[in-house]
Amino acid sequence: MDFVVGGGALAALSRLAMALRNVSVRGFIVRSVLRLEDALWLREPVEDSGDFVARVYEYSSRPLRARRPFPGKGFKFTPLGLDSSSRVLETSAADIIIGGVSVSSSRGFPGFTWPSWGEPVFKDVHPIFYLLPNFEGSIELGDPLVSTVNSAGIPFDINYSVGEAADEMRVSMENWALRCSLDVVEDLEDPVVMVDGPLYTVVKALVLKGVSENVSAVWAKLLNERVEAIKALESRGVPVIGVVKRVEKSTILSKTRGFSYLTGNNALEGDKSVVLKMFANIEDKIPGRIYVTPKILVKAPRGVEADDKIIEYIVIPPGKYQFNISFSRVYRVEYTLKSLKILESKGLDPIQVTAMDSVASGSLEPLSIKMSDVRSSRITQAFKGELARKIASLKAPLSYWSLKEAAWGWES
Amino acid sequence: MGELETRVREEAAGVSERVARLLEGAYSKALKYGDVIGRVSRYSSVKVDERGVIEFEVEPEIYYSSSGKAIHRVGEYVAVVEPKTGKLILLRIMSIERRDELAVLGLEPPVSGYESRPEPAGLLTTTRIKARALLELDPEKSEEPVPATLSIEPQSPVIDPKPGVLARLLDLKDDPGPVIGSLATPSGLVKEGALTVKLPYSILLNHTLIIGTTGSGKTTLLKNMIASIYSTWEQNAPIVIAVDMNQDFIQLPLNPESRPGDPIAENAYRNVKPPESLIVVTPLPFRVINEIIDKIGTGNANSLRIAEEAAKIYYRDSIEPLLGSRIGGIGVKCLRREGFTVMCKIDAPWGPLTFIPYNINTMTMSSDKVSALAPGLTEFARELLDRVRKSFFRDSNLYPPLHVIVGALRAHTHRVSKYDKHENIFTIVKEIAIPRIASGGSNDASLRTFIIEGLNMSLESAITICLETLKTAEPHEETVKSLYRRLLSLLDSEIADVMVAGIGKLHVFEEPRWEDIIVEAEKTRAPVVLDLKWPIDKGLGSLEGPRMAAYRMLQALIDWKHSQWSRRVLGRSVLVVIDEAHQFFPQERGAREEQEASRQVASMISRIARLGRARGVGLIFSTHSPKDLHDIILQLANTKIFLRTEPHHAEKLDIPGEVKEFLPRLPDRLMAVISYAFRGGYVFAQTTTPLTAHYDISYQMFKKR
Repeated sequence: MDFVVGGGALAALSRLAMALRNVSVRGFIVRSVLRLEDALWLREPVEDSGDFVARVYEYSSRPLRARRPFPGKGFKFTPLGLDSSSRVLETSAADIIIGGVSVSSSRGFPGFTWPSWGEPVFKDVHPIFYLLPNFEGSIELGDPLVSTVNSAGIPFDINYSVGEAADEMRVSMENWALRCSLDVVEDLEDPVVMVDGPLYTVVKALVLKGVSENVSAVWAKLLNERVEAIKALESRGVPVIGVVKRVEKSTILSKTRGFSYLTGNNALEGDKSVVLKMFANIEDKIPGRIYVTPKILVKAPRGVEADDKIIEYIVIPPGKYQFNISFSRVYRVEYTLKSLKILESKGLDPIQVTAMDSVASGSLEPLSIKMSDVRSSRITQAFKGELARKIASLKAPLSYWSLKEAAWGWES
Repeated sequence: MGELETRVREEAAGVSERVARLLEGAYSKALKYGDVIGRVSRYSSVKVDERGVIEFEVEPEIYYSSSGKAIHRVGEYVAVVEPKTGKLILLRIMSIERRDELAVLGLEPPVSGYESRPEPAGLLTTTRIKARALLELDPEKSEEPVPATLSIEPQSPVIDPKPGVLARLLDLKDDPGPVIGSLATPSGLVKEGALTVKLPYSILLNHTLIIGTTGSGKTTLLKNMIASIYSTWEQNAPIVIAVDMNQDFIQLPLNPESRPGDPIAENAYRNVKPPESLIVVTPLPFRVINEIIDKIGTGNANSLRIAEEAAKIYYRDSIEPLLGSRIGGIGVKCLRREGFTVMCKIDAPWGPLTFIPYNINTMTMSSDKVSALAPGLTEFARELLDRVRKSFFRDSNLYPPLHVIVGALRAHTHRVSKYDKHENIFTIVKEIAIPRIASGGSNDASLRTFIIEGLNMSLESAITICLETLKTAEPHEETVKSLYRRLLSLLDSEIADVMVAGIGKLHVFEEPRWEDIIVEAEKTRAPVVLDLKWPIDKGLGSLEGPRMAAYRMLQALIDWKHSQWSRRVLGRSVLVVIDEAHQFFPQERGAREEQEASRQVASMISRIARLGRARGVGLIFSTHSPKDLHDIILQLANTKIFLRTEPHHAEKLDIPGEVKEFLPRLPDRLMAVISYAFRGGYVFAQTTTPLTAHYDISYQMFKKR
């Protein structure tokens, strides 16, 4: 591994704070401008409200089957959980998005987190600050860790939504971490990478016609990066699994051919409610089991260069003898056919990989992902606090809420 | 980049280099003084205030290694190497926080577990430890530790100090003094008992109080301390005088059934063995003397002969049962040291046993001391007693024996007139004095004519002299009555003024002189045991007698030490051990008279304690019930040793909160020693099972075989 000498995250933070002080802008602007794209849900995943093709991939007599959460004897594999986090700090000159990403494992591998307090570990670094200026014009720092343009090279202007930029930041950082994990997986025993969220996201902007280039370009770029990173990992024999925890809004099941009878006329019923309804209807629940839907193949929309993905829904009841619906967890597991083959060649099953990292560890969610979640959110929180402190100490204005949040951090 | 900025940057680089060097230095020092077990937290602020609490972290690999043992228990000692100064800061662990990985992540647990299999990886988390900073010390310099006030840097190394370093940090002095035990935490030994805790002799002179419930090891601790003093017998070691209510201490020279083999016995008490000789001082009650005279006849009734017989009886009663064997003849040799103190030498299996009968003789005692023996006298009564005795003293140069004063008081209340004086006084002598003379059945009537030795007058004439004084004094009837009652009970204690009938004369037993006893104790290297149980066993019903004997002994001892001091003689100091002290020095309660008595006793102890320090007399009190003990003792004792104690007993006493927590749960023989001898204010220590014989029924029955 090559190390970057100098240019640590903290140095970038100081430079950013100085730059913000030197820009004098009076007052704060309100960024939330409702645009046509927003009304059209252009940035939503197609799984939520778009059109796509999905069909049952394996035969099953029942829509939800009981499975052992883990085989009798433990399989050997190293789960790597990947998760990102972002925070927003509002100053008068610009809104700053601070991103963080972490890769951790519940089995020994120490993982890595970016940004870090020390020197960066990888030669190729990802910006940790997105700078969204609050005035016409731009702030140029020439710092590799501070970016004023999005992944597609489009500058963040006064109309750029903070929420969008934060979404892009997280996906971009995860893509970067997936690429970086190529450097570390070689030393590990049967690594399996688990990403928090969908394996890849196809937003509606990519499939609808006539969408402005400004909206679609960045998501096309991010999707492309993700697909490339997954392919690179798979070519090294490392399967990648996406674990989606929030499945309330997605509508895959109701749109799956052969499954639509479950929702009847309500074609937009969320998957979580469909799955839980199925779970509630099972009369003879078997203690100590988790419940899984048959594999469903979701085709990549036409015109999108991505592999088809296979999804499965898992219901994890709150306990061995507890079938309480409201405390049950529903996850969607996503992977490509290639990853499925790699896993099968090792005698592993994607459901068991996910379940073993959760229920076998005594929790209801994958431990490796949670570890990354905690690490990335703590580091971004810390960087946010540090940046706020720096800016405040330079007597540059912070928004009321940013100042308040930062002050809570200083006091505690 | 401006010039100023460049300079600031360069300076900053210089500082970081210097800090790096300091930290490196601290780590290399840490390796020298112990095992590095962790480092001061980077994640929480390190604030040093007057009760400085510091947080540090321990990595799992150290926590689960053998060097991590030091941080597995609350109360253990660790040290921080401070990078700025290179000083060591002693910490005592207050809390240890262990969290599983799942708890660290804040995950929601399943309602009922899917998997009962343990998950070792979950335990590989950092341990967070909170500790209190106690003392700091520069180990390279020969200085004493001072309270920790130095600021502590995050990332400073935390070490488990080597035994020698820990001893220096705690300022455990190797000054001469008895061994208390091995350094411990509330749950067990520190460094496998390698560190010895001693109480220097100088500290003992400031008085000690031992508190512990029955069976917690008070007597064991005292015995081990005494054995330790006599095994080393350093230049300034004190003579130990043990006031013994249970015949615990007469077992001192005997070996235990088996020597304890625990680490404490092997380290702290390595060279300690039972003392090789013993001096027993015991009150010789009137009734025993009477029996002896009955046996040997009035003709042979001199103090040496009586003492010889008493020694034999004592040996048969008290020593032989301990030895478990009976010997035919007991070799006793009695002598009178410097024409005064009667001592009997007995050849005991362990070596010499010296038996000294102790009786109080008021004939040479000033009045305030006599009233001290009869506490509860009113002011008027004390004055009257003083007047009667003084006027008698003017004529005969000796004070009258109690028989005489009691007789005179009796005669006064009965309004004996001039005319029938002779007849009535004879009646009174017959009623009051004659039954209290050990005569072995000689003719009662003839005793009235016997001459009292030293006074050269008969009982009758002595009473007449006192009666005259009483008449001129014209005391109130109640005063006379109260004085009469108190003195009669003093006489009936059978210990004060024991009068023996010889041929034609009456002899009052002399009181042994403490200087003789101490000289003998020093010569034979023997602890002195004041056995108060034997007289009670011999039929002395009440505790009054033994209690009085103890007071008198303390009084005489301090008088002797005081006279030594005024002559600027620097003798050995004396350590008086009072087991079950609440029996001697009870709390002020009860009727007015009892309270008065208690107050007088208190003023006596207060005097002894105050003078004791200057004159070289140290007191060790031991009790299971500090509530029943007089407050003055709680105030006077500078060192307090707590063995297992019920919480309500500890309430009244000023004990650090963290110590109080543990007191009800301490294991046997483990104690908190609160003393200014220790820099930290207190230490925990544990003593071993008795190193001398300890015939305690419960111990014998339930000990682990």
